[in-house]
This record gives sequence, structure tokens and C-alpha cells, in this order.
Amino acid sequence: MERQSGLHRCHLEAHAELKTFSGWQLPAWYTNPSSELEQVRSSAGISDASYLSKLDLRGPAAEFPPPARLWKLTPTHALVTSPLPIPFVESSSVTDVTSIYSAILLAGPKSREVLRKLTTLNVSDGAMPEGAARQTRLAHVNATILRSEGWVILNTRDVAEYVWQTLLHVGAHPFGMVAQQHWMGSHESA
Amino acid sequence: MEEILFEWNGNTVTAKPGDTVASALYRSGVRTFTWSYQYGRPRGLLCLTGSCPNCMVNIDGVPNVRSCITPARNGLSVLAQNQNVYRGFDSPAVKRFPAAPPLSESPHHYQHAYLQFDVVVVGGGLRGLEAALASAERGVQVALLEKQPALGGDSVLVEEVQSHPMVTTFLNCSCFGLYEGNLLGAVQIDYDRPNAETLLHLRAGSVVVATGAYETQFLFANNDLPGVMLSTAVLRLLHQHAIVPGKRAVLIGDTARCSQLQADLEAAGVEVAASLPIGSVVSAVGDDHVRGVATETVTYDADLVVMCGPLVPDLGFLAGTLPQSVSLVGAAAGEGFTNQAYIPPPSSQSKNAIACLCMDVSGHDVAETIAGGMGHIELIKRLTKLGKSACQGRMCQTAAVSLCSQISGQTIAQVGTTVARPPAPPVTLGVLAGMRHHPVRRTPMHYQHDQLGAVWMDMGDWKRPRYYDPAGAGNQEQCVEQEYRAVRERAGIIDVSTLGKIEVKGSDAGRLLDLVFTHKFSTLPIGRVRYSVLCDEMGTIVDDGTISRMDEQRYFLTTTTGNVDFVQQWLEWWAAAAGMKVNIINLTAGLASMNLAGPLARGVLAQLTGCDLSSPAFPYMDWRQATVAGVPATMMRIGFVGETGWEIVVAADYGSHLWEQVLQAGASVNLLPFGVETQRVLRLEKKHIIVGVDTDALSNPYEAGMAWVAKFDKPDFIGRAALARMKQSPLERMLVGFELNGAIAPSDGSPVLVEGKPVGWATSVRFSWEKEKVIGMAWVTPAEAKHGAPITLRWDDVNYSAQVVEEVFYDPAGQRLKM
Repeated sequence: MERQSGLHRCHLEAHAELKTFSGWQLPAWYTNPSSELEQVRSSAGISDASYLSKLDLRGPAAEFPPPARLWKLTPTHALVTSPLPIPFVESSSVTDVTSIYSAILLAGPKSREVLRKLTTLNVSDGAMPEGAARQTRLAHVNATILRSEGWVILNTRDVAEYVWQTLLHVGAHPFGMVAQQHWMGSHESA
Repeated sequence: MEEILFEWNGNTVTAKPGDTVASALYRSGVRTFTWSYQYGRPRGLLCLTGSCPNCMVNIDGVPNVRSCITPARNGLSVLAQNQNVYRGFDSPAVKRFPAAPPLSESPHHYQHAYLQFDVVVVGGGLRGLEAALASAERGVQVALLEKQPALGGDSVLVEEVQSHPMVTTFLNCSCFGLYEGNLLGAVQIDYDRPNAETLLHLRAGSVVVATGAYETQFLFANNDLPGVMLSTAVLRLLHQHAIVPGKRAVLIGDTARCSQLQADLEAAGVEVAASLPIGSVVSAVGDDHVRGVATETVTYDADLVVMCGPLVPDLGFLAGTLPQSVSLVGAAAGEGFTNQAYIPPPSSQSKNAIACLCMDVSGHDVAETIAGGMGHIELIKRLTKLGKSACQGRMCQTAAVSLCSQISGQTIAQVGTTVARPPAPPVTLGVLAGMRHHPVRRTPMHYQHDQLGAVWMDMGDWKRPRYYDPAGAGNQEQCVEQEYRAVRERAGIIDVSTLGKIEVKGSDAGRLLDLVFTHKFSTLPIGRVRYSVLCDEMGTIVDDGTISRMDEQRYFLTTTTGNVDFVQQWLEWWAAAAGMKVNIINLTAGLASMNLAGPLARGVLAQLTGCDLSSPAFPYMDWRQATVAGVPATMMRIGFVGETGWEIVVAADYGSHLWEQVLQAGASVNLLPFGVETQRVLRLEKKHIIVGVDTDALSNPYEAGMAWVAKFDKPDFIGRAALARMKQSPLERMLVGFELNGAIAPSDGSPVLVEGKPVGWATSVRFSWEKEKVIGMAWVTPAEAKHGAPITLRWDDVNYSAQVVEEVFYDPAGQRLKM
């Protein structure tokens, strides 16, 4: 069975070309990948990254091999994210929270301007460098924001659609998986 | 030169580049900009710095816009305000201009922005520029806020500031308040779009206040006539807009400033008839515009009267004691002037000497108030409304304090000032509201409900189907009856994904649940589900739900829709307080859950899973994990609606798929989706309570008829002591069932009367198709809490007679749940 993210309806309404990406039904593109990529590079774009595997860790943080990344939220609370399934043993301190959190990648030169319309969080480079994670409020709902090739915004799935629409409203443009993969690639090599 | 055209009360006005709306109107000959709010006195330009209420107009539908700081733009529609105010009992209401358009939803671009700076400098004059540069040179991030469309002061400094990489300049940006933690509120206006304002939330390491000082008016008879201006206005008209403000002027006040101004006016060709000290002025003369100034002995003809009035530091957005990280510089710190008060002339107690321009409070009103024994400046403010409107005391405070001091014989310091309270200047409600982002929580099956014709209801931020109306016929009762019959006779399914879902795991999980719930959970066998209520220390029911034991150290809890955050915090609090090794995870958004119920539900579910669903293999109040419709699922056999049923829980990503599959499998038995309204009827027939609907903030389990939930077979739990005491004490009220005579169902919450006296209220009232009667639950006194006791519901001025019913309305033996 293919999994549908909390943003599925947003993709349908935007007439996205849906394809399967590691078990998830996701938008390959909305209009065409190159113009979407161009928009991200010149302005601000949002893309569905809910397919990211996410683990909630309590207690001392364990180590996970790349491409998994560890995000410390508090001294005793961390998240692990990975574009691939994460091998782990469910226990009283490890919970798979992949389905609980939608993830939106917000990227591009104007992405900080977009965030500043919606959150009181200090998103300057000094306060939030690459690799930082913060729990905050965004557009009146709880959010965890990860600084990673832009910003990964995690919300509970029930408000995903609302957050997506709000980001569109304040000026972000949607981009699909093809453009997202290009963005990630170009960003890593840069 | 490029021309700017806009409309003033329907007539076209031409403006020059650099004009404000006010300067363009003045240039075109407009002298009366508005009429006063209370008495309809004509008012003209006074300060031209955005400090007074006299130039406020309606621009493109937005009222109270200060035209003197609003740039003139092509196509504006500008209307005078207050042209229709009531002018007393004797005079007819005067209609000079068409009425202002009604307030409406005009196009807007209100938004917020949250910014952080090391230093925020408020005020872009000379001292502000210096402060901004000094900070920027130290290599810190600086924000410079200026309410005018351009920075002032020194043009070289302006250039330097604007090109400095560490300085961000915000023009057309009024700072309205400094709040705790150096949080500054400011509104920046974008004049390129209609109603485009941004509320800036600026966090500052330190704040430099360089707002300068504003000039304030003198108090004498007819001081509010058009043509009586402050020197700031005259200087701006002359030097900024190249407008000669009049032909013949009288100057009043500060000698040094008057003589400087006299030189400027004479250079522009204005004759200066006299320069007078304030003490010698009796009144201004004129009807719709000033014609002269009278002293005791002479009347000077003039079409312009200029007040070189007291200067007051512009600190209205500051309140209380300032932290050390906030510093005042320049005129804002009082540098360069001392004349903050003056001795008002005798005519300042005239009814025509207007102290408060916004509310038309005269010197006479102030004197009368003091004579009446209310001489404290705060009392004068409260009684007369002086200082309580748009200019927030800027034009009246000094005049009122001076007058008060003169009358009472107190010093200026003894009189004091009223307390400043931000926001100052005023802020539009629209920009405070910002973009209208209201969170909406949706379940994974939301759009399937939509397609099925869901009629929505809000539960907090959640959307839930109240019932489904596929034909769109709008008949709620018919729709609910069909759904009801499907569940009672065949099968129905309801989306319960909004219920809170919490996982409690760790070596102390069982102990924690024993502590916070009334039931015992450490001994609950793996594979079982148990209902329990959560009581607080007072024994009050605060939530209820089911708890399933998943394995030795892991439990799965459900809570009511609105309460999951509370329950999570409650559990975390007690886990921390008792030092328990346990982790509490809120899974609500990650799981889709649906309740499939009805006599034919088993057959529907059997089509989707290989799990043995027979009662011996899967009894009531058990759970099983199995593949359902190809996806991993947890099924709990529970029965809120009173029929054989399963709550099926899957990862939210599969919710939509599973719902579709259940509907397809149920099609052959005409399974229907049902909504919250139908569920409420079904559970009411079972007398299953809804916490928060049938219970209130004081209800305990004994009153609610749920004595069985209090389990004293464990050492301690939250609320145990209170419950033990209640068990021994007589009850004050009881929740009972009732049947009503007649087919009309009074509203939930209707009062319950006995012999005409109120004894309680009905919590839930619905028509029951099982009983073919209206049934309900109600709080009553113990005297009525017995079978057959007559009670009366009163709703909409009509009495409805009813009888208390002890037994559950539907399947009292509870057999259908276990079939």
C-alpha cells in the first residue's frame, strides 16, 4: 500500500503529477521541474518532505549512521531524520514518529523572509546555524524547525494542510520531488 | 513636473511630488480638514508632525488616517470626517459633505514580521542617525525606525546610514510600544498597496530612543480655529512644501523661537503683525477661520496665528520604568529646552478654550471638574475623557496640567501627569489581526467525508462530520435517523481520529497509570482494554477514555478530542513528581482511527482481515493486531454506541485507504458512515457520558452514577482521599436519565424545575428511535433521583413534563456489545 502524506490533498488540488517515491505517493512536479527549481533558487519554495523517516529519542542520544541525522531538541530529547528507512529497535525510549509529523522543506533566498512572517523564532544565521533544531510556534501551531539545506518544518500531520496553505499565502511557491532532489544535490556539492 | 491627482470629497486635487495629503490639500486652499467629534467645531492643520488629531481623514475607506504623514498618491479617495455630527438640541444637523462610506471588508495586506536586532534606534532625525552609525561601527546589527517617508537631519549622515551594511532602515514606520524584554511594536505602512501595513515585532538587545520632542498647543479662547497653528506646521509648510501659509501672522509664545520664525515668515513675504507672550492673549477671533487675535487692549487682524508652544519629549510609546538597555538621546531626553509648562491666560477657563481637541474638553470643563472636588489629574482624565483619544494626550496634557496647577496652586510636579499606556500612536485593528491564519486540524479522511456530503462541525480546531447529507436535502433529522438505523440494524462507521491517543511506556508505565487513573492498570493483562476516568485531586472527573495494555511496559490510551494535551501534561507532571521511569508520546496525529459498529459489523470486517473476530477468540474489551485491508492495524473491541464494534487504528498515511475499503466491504449490507450527532443519540440511549457535556467542572463519579469507577483496591491514586470522603457523604445532586412526554426535544442545557423551582439542568436531550420518545440526561437533586419522579424542563418559555428513568434506555443488559 502506498502511503499518503498529510499534504496529499494540496498536491491533488495543485494538479500535481503524482509518482511513487520509496513507498510514498508524492508530487513529481506541479508545472515543470526546471521552472520550479528556478523559483526556489530565486525566491522561496516549499516541498513535501513528509517521507523523511523520523524517530523520537528520549534519554541519552544514540548514534545513527548517515544519511540519518541527529537533531538535539533538549539534553534528553532528540529527533533522528533520514531520507531512508532507519533501522532501529522500538523501545520505551525510541518511537517511530514518521506518520505523526508532516515535513515541509522551505528553501531559497527568500525563505528566511517567509519564516519571519510566521514565527517569533530568531532565524538569523547566528542564532540558528546549519544543523540547529528548534521547537517553536509557527502560524499559531507547534512546529519543530530543522536548519538543513533550507528549513525543514515539522508539524503534526493534522495541521499540515493548514501550514502548507499558510506558507503559500505568505509567498512561497510549491516544488515537486524532482526539483527537490536537484536542490538537495546542488546544495550538497555547493 | 509629474502631477499627482486625488479626490477630496469628490473634487479633484492636484499634488506635487513630495506632498503629503495634508500639504496638497492646504496648497489647494482647503483650510477645514475635519469637524470636532463632540461639538462639530471646524478644525484645520495644527502640528503637521502626526501628533494631533486635526488632519485625520478617511482615505480609501480607512478612517482616522493622519493625512500629514501620508504621502499624496494618484487615485486616492479622501473624505473629511465628522461632517454629520449632532450639533446640539437647538441646531439642525449640518450636512456639508456626503456621508463617509460604511466600514467594510476593503482589500488589505495586513501582515506581521518577527525580527531581532542588537540595537533598535527609534527616530531617524540627526541624533537617531548618529546613534545608528555609532552602533553599526561597532559591528552590530542595527534597525532604524522613522515614521516619516524619509530620514531627516543631515544629508551626509543619511547617505552614510543608508549605505551601511549593518543598518536596516524602516521608513513610514511608527513605533507604538516598548514591551517586556525589549520587544518593540511598530507599524510600517506600504503606500504602494491599499491597506498594506506590517506589524513589526522587534526584539532588541538595546534600544535608543531618538524620537525628539513634539510641540504642544496653548490654551486660550478659540485656540482651535483653523489658521491657528503650531510653529512645526508653519516651518514644514514653508521649508518642506514651499507653501506660504498666510498673509498676515500673529506669533505667540517662546520669544527666541518667535523671532526666528518671524525672520522665516518675513523672508517668505508674510507680514508679522505682532509677537505676543501667551499671558497677554485673550482670544483668537473668527468663525470658520481665524481673523485675528485679541489682547485686553488691541485686536490684531491676522489670517495666521502661530503658537511657539511648549516642547515635550515624544515618549508616548514608553511606559513605566525603563530598563538600563533603553537610552534616551537628544530632545527625547529633554536636551535643548526647559519650557514644559506655562501660565495660561485668564481666558483659558473659557468654554471656547479647547484643551483636548479629540474629545472637545474645554478649559471650563477642567475648571468645573476641579471645582467639583476632582482635582487629581487622573480623575480629570477619567471624568472629562481628556487625553483618552486619538492623539493620546499630546495636545492637551501640558495645557491641562498647567491649568490645573494654576487653579489648585500646586506645582507642576505636584500635579504630575497621567500614566502613559501604549499603543501610542494608535494602531489599526486590522494590522493587529494580521493575516487571518486560523489553524484547521483535519483527519486523514477529511476529504472523503466531504465527498460523502459531511455537514461539518467545529470541535476546537478540528473539523468533524456532524452527520452526512449526501442528497443535500438539508433535513438533519432524516439524515441522523438513517445513520442511526444503519448502526442499530446493520453497520455504521465513524471517524474517531480526533480522539487523543497517547502511548505510555517504560518500566513504571503501569505504576503511573495506577496513580493517575481510578482503575488499576498494573494488573491489566496484555491484550485487554479497560475504560477508566481521570479524576483530579478533588475527585472531579476531568477526562475519560480507554487504556489498552500493549505489552509488559507499554500502554495505549485514548482521551476525549479536546483534552489530549491536558492529559499528556497531567501524565508528564505526575511522572516527574513521582520520579517514574516512563516516556509519554502523543500519537494523535500519526494514527487514523475509525469505529465500525453494528450487528453486521463483524461480517464487514471479516472481509478485510484474516483475524478471527468471533467472540470466543476476540471477546469484548480485547485488542488484537492484524493486517486489515493490507495494512498493519490495531483493533480494539469496544462499544461506545452500544453495538458489537471495533475501533480500528492504522498509521495516518493509510487512513484514507482503510476508510475506502471499509465502505466498499460494507456496501453489500448498506453500511453508512455516521457523524457526531448520530453518535450522540446512540450513546445517550446507553447513558454513556461525554465528559464536558454531561459533566461540568465539579462533577464527581458518585454524582454521575459511576461509583464503580472508584477502585479502592490499590494504595493511592489521584483523588482517592476526596473520593473516599464523598463515598461517606450524602450527594448534593445526581445525573439521571429521563423520558419526556411529547415529540419536541428542548435544547441541551434547559433548566429542570420541580414544583416551579429550578433543581438542575438537562445536559443532553435527543429523540430516541429506540424509545420513540425524547430522552435525556439531567442533573437533579437526590429527591428526584428515583425512577418515575416527575420533573419539568423549561425551554423557550414552555414547560415540558418528564419522568426520571433509572434503567439504561437501550439494551440494559449490555448483551449486544458482546454478541
